[in-house]
Amino acid sequence: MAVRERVAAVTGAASGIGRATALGLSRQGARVALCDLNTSGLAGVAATIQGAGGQVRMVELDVSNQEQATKGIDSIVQAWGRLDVLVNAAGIASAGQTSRGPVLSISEPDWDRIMDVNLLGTVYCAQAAARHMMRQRSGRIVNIASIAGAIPRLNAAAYGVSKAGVRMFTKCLALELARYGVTVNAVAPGPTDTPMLGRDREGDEDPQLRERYITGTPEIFRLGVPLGKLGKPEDVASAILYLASDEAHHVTGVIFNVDGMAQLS
Amino acid sequence: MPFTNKTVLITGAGSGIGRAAAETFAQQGAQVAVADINQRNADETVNTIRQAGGTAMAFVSDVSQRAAVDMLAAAVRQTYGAIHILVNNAGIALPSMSIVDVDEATWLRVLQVNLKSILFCCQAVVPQMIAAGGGRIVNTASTAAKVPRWEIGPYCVSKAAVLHFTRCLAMELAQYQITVNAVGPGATITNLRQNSGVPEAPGTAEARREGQLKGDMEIFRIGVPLGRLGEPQDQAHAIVFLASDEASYISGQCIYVDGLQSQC
Repeated sequence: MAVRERVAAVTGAASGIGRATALGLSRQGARVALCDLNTSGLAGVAATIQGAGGQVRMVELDVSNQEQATKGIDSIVQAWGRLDVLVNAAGIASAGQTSRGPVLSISEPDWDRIMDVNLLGTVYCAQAAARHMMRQRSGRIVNIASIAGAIPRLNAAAYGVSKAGVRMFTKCLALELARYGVTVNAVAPGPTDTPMLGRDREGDEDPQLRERYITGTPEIFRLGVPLGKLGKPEDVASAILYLASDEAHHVTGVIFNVDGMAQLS
Repeated sequence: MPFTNKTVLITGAGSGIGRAAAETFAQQGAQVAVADINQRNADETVNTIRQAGGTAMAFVSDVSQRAAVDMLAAAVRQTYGAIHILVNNAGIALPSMSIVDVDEATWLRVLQVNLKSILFCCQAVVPQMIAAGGGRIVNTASTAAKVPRWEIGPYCVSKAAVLHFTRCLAMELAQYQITVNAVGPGATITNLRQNSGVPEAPGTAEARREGQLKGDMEIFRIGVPLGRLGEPQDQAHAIVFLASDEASYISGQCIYVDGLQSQC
């Protein structure tokens, strides 16, 4: 099936990697459902897509609530008759005051919020999409992991552990859905120039932070980025579009690094 | 003896791998805090250790709850002084089901017991270790932390999370001379399913173990190249090594004690 006939859902589509992916899918001709907790944040993306003649709908859902995630995904199938692609791009780098601090001081609510959005939010949307894709006997699910889920960083345990969970969930789901012809993969961005990256622990914009990611610091990725630049959301979106394409039909259970070689091991 | 005057806290020490580790530490001179949610099982471990001349005390605790963990850490400290070695071994299995069908409550429960219990125990115990100038933490992960498997998805996800938590905490605690490592058991003969409230009929358990050993499309296709299933004692030896003085330059690692099962 050509991409132009496809129905795609993208969570976290208001900014960053989710936005770039939604725009990319639309340029390829897919009908795109933009899913987010706050649909007002999606209006700009929806307007851009519609301005270019694309078909779009907005779906309000909280990915961390299984019932809402299921209803939201189901509503896309009710409206457009099928679901070919799900991209789970909703994610947060921090929650509350403690999630980006030392492990010893992370509070239970902050820990839970990171896990609920990044890991379980991915799980619940993928579960809902998988049911439709199993019935169709085709589909593509692409999750956003992170190299921070493979190599440890200081003051980022909650985020890293949630992404480690996404990596294993991707593989487990891929294994179970293989017999239905549904593929499940993840991209693992390194430092990427999104609104999430440039904020410090308190959530304030820190202009120095981007440079420190490139050169490497003990607190972030000690190596820095060998390619000497941050990734752009579009770089990650390109990898997602490949994994969501027909051409990638024999690729499943893969964690695809898009990181300028920031992960060495 | 290598662990004389060392205090070891082991969670899930009432049975299986935790019990084997408790007995091995005690044989090597440690004073062992045997924590378990099940009083009778904890008492059995303690009695076995005492009958062999070792030192141990039972502590009944639900380590998935932060308040209970804080009380546990304080009680152990009161009994034996500062904790030198923490073995985060408590965990649960789940009924087999497709990862597509797992409900929210089940996801939250497996993460609470298998992952957050370790967060809570480390938060409660590490300050004692920092004050003492060092320590050892060993977490029980699984080959399921590395290799995806059919119909136990939430277990795999929780153990992958444990493995990465191990690495992150190791990085943060390196400056205090506290090492944090994991063991990754392959199929090991324990009562994990029974203790998790998901017992199998006798024939089913045997069929599962036969599948694990010989290789099974739905479990580990290669089976166990070393030709036998793991015993709790196999895991205990690795745990005790990682907790020893000899392992002081090893941190953030996972030793897979699996008879080559995860090399697939």
